Amino acid sequence: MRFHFIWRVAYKELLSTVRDVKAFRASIILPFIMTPLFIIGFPLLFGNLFGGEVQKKQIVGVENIAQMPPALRTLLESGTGGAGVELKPIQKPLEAVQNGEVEAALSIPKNGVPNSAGGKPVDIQVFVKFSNQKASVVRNKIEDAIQNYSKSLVVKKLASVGLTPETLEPVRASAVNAETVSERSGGVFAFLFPMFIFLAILGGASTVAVDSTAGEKERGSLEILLVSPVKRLEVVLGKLLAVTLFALFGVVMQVSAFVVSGLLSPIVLKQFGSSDSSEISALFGGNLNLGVEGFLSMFLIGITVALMLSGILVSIGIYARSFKEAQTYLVPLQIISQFVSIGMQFGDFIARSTLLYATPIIGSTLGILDIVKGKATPEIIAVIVIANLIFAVGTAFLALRNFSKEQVLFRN
Amino acid sequence: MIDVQNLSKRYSPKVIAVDNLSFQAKAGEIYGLLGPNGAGKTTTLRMLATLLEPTSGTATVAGFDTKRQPEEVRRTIGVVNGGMGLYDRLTGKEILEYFAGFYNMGKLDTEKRIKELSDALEMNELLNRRAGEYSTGMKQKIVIARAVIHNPSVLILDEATNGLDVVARRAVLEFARSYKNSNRVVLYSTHIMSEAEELCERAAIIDHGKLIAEDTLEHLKTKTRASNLEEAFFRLTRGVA
Repeated sequence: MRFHFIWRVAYKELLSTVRDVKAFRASIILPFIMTPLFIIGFPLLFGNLFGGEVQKKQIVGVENIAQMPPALRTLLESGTGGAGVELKPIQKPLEAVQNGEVEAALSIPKNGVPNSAGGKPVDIQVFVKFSNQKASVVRNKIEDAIQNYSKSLVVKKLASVGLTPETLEPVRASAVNAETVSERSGGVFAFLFPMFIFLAILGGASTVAVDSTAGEKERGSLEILLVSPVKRLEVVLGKLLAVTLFALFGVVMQVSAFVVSGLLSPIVLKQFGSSDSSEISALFGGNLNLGVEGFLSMFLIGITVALMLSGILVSIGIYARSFKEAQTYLVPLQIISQFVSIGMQFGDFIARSTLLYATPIIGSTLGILDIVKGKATPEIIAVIVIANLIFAVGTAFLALRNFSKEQVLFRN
Repeated sequence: MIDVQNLSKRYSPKVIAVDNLSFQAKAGEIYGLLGPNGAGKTTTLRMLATLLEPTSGTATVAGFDTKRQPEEVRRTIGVVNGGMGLYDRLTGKEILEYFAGFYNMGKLDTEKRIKELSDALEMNELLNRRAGEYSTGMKQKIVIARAVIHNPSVLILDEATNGLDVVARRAVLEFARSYKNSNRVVLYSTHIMSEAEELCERAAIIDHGKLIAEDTLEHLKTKTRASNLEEAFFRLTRGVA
């Protein structure tokens, strides 16, 4: 095995890819667009939209408005301390909401609503479209107002017999968030972080892998390369090296994008965000701060995943007869990696085991998720890295096997 | 220089691409490997180039056995195929340097050789342009230069004029003729009989993987009482003597 031949093959592939300006720029720019968009852009947008909706004076239809107690009406209409909605008399609340005449509607019973506690409870129906996210804001406002009205009647009743409101709640449950800073910083969308890493690896590496295998085959240049005195093993290793280096480049870009977004998030949200933006940003992982150890662990997993996937990409690429065919074969791989990441939103229900951490893709996804949530230990990282390296050797052998098989190499 | 003895290639129990083929091509000649599409020409050439392993039989190229000494064989051959496969984002010079490196040619030797080929093939203006910008004729010049960058003693041309216009085609034929000398052999594979008639001294005609005839072109025509090679080819492959 001659290393200068391996490097010659790899260098040619890297040079060729770097000169494919559009693909190269995409691998640099995309992580720096997608990650801040997710960590900063969405919270900023949703925060401002949500905040705007809370401030807005929604029109709420009321059936039998004459039966509504004045105190309840004040709680609904008042901007300060109340729901701050505009009430509009209507006849058919369900239809009025369905046809968009009003955003929500109340049905006050014909017999009216009690203005003192102690009698039989009365239902006030609230009509809203449950799947409409905007409607959930007005629903919360109305329900809060009705609950406050109900509570005010109880308080009044208790006062009339000399009792304080605390009489109703002699014992209270008080939940305390036991998450560590790292666990909290990942947000509830932490399961998406592994997906970003996998996308960065596949996005960067698959272009090189497909172009250097199926692309060369399609152009006819592979045959010419193989009639020169370079060994097939050297060709495979050169291509694997190029694909891996580009995949690593993707990992570096993605991890850097996480770091930059995490640093920028509080500054940007403070400057341009609403009061809700920071809260939403935390859900999206905007407070992500893994520390040097966390980022290094993530990088280590990324490297070994890149090595493992490079072998698969080259094996698939050389099997395909054309660039397009190879791209088609790669789709399931991309879908699998994304499905695994999305499935990890239920990661808390998954019983961790060494075997699971050693499973390709699943183990790495869990590992990245654990790093984001501050749960990863050096032992876990070691299991994932060693398993990935073993699989990387396996996929490299698969690539070499495909390169050695006449029926694969000259499959047309 | 090329000695093929009972060479066979079986892809599956039902598909025999080359069946017991034997021929010899000597130094100083342009030897034709002629046959219709699917006759087994490319499979034969791939076996000679060590890309495919024969099912049975032997082949030696410049004295090296294709099975036992594949790397030595590859060091002595240059191949031009009809695919014109180049790396679009590399310049002509980079492509030639890339391949020269596999023959352990030093920087100075490579530069000298590129200069020689550039003069011979009139491709000086192409060297610093990316291959993606080339016309078909320009590409073919770099493809030829790449095949002979290491000055091989055996040049294999496989349907090398496919898709070329008349000017580029003429350039390929002239290059093949000029490459032949007492120490080299050119193996010219084609289904275009007029090209073979113009270039080759001797030829093997194959069909369905089998050798139909091997002789000088003059003898092939005389034997079949044909006025040209195409007619002789038809008579031989259709069994009309």
